[in-house]
Amino acid sequence: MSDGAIEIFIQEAQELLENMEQALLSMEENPEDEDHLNSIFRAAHTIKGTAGVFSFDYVEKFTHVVESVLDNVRQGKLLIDGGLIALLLTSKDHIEVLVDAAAVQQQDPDEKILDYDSQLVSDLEKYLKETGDDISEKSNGNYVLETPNETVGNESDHVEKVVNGKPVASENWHISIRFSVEVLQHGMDPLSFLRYLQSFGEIICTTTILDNLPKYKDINPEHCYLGFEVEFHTDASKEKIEQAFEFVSELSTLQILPPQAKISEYASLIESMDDEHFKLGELLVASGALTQRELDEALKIQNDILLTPPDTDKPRIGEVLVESKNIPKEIVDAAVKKQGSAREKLGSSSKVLRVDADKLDELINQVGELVISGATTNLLAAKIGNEDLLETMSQMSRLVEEIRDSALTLRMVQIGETFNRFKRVIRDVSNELGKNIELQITGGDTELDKTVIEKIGDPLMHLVRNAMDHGIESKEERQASGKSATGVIKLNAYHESGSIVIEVEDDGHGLNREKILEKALLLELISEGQVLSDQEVYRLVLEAGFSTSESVSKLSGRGVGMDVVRRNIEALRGSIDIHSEMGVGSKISIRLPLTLAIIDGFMVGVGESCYVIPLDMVLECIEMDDVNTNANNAEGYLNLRGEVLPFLKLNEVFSEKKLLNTNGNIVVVEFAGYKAGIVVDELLGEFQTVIKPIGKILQNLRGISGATILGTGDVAVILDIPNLVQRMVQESGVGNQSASTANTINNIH
Amino acid sequence: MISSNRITKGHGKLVLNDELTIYVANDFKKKLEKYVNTEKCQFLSIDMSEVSEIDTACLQILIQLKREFTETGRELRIVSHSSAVIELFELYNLGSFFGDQMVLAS
Repeated sequence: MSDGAIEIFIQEAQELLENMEQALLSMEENPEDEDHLNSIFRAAHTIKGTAGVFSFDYVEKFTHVVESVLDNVRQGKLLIDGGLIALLLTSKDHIEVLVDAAAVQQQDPDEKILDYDSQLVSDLEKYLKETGDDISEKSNGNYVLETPNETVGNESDHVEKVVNGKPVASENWHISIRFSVEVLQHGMDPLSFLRYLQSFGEIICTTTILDNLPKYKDINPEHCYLGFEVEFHTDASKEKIEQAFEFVSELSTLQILPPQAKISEYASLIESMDDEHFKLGELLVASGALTQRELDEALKIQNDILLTPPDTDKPRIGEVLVESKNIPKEIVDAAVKKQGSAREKLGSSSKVLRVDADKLDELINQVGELVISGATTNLLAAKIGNEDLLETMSQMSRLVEEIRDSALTLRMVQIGETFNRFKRVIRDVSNELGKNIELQITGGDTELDKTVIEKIGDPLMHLVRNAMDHGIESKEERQASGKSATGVIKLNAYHESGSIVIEVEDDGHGLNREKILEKALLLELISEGQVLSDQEVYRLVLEAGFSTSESVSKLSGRGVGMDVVRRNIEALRGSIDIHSEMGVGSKISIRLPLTLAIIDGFMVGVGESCYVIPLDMVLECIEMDDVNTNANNAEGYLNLRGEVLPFLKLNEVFSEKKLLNTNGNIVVVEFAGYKAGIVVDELLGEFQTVIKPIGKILQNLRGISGATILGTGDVAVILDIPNLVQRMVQESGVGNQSASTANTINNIH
Repeated sequence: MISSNRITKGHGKLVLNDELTIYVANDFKKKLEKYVNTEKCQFLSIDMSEVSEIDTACLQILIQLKREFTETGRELRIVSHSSAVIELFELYNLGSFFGDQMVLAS
């Protein structure tokens, strides 16, 4: 079995297990819902089936027990309750461990896992015994695989030795397959194999073999009784065709005859299908695999070998003709057929493509380089001034921009999946703490960069745990203060001016200002008598080693964590806001840039250098003359249409020479609800900016978040607007009213 | 799975909908069992225009039902096919087996 297939199995198993968990959690709230039960059952069923194919015995065995329990629930023999859901949840975790051991580490699980395994199995079997269902027989062993019939290879060799068969005329492959009864139970459907064949060739004719289909009352709906004879036209190799049936090759009898195969090979095929063979011969003629003459020859060969009297009863052949020929085909509307095959092509190309993350990164890198060299070319074109060239260049720039955008959206993932993971955490932890906590998720469809999503998981987990442990009060406390006994934690995500905001909100007792101050004094983070604003106080909880909790619990309270959260988020060029109100709750907002690779920049010139401001944060540009700045210049703020706007002069900040001949321009930027002005000499316009990380030495510089290479080969610095805005707001003491209890901590190193 | 399933004056009328897959196959078989070996239903019409998905498991049941109808000289007709049904019939080349006119229900 190829590695690729195993990888797909792992991914699929993980997705299924995730679905299973979601469904189990929903069932807990709503036990009557059959949809959820079915999807849990489906997940278990499919995992069992595929695990069996790969012979991951442990996975298959265990999942089988789980499936049996679920089946009993489905049939109403077993009532689902909290205990069973909890057991199923742990079983789900266990399957995950088993899959991991089998597929990822390629080894059998160790003893510890196996002990746990048998413990869970016995727990599950208790439920089964309740229903009086004895599955021990089934659960002990895997399905006994049907031994495939003698391989056609040997047989045909044998035939060839005796008679040198001539090739048949047909240009098509002939595939003869009899599925074993178990394929459906293993989660596979014959139709998907035929569909897959269509993806690399054309099915000339299919004949469905119904001979094994028993009487209606004897049908087991979960068994497969069908077989197929397929005339298939393709340029692909035999290997490729065999691969299509890779998953069922052990479970079925498969024979593939190449185009222009020897008649003797057909003879042995017909022979291997023993009692139905005369019928089959006719069938082959009917489907165009053989001509009548070839069939006669084949039968003759076969009879010569077997030395048994030929049995060429015509009536039996007639039966087949009735079934497959006499009913006129014209009734199948030709138009519909055409339509059908077009649909088939569409359906067979899958809608989701799994791509290696490295390949995607490489693409993004290359697009980055393209953007840079595009800028260089643009510059050259402008220098030469050839109009035709300029026109083509502008067209190319537009295309490059589009490529950039689509390359970046490839990496975008919805945050919902990350949020959903917390359902389980909340459920488990609230049980542990004896609190009733409900999770409300909004904005799950907000998209952000995959790398960001991966790195945001841990900090979010920490914040959620904190909110559950410290934020939400115990039932008694909540009732005493007139709140509902059930605490609410809200996870929310939305886009705001080039960033994504993720909020973790609880309706607990909020941050206690006095307690924080007390503790800060103790840790000597502040000195006695220091006057601090709310913002500054709340910021203290993000310091290392800070915890106001009197007791250390399993979940949190050790004081490590919040500073790690802060550092993680800062590493993503993000920031944290804390809003809190005593007795009402607190809200922690994480603000992250949408992507880490390429941004739309706004280039400005200061002195002799160029600087880039992320375009999403630019609100407007005004000329210095337009506003009366002289009066307040010294204080560092100006009047923008009646609004107080703090500003700073970039040439002062970065010690650039002031170019005397200009008054300068003000770029008004906004971040996290704060507005500020940045005074620059020149506005150079929009510029696609590929963010290049700056080296370690420069990393701690304030106000700079990265660098980029211009078309000229010069380096331009990308301004860290969040940091600059923060500095201005703090220095000028001007705040936004809505942010009165807010505390913005930005890349402060 | 089944939105209507009744026999009036020897004429059975079956309207199928949504998913006909292995997950409902057991149930499906049970509900159709009343048509097997019965004099009560000489003619069964099946409307499959609302079937969104059908797989081998449920198809087998229909195939066998059709065969047993034919064997006992009774008639089973599929009067309307959804695109999913047509697709499967074409894939398995069963159009002539059922012998019904296949027209895409609009």
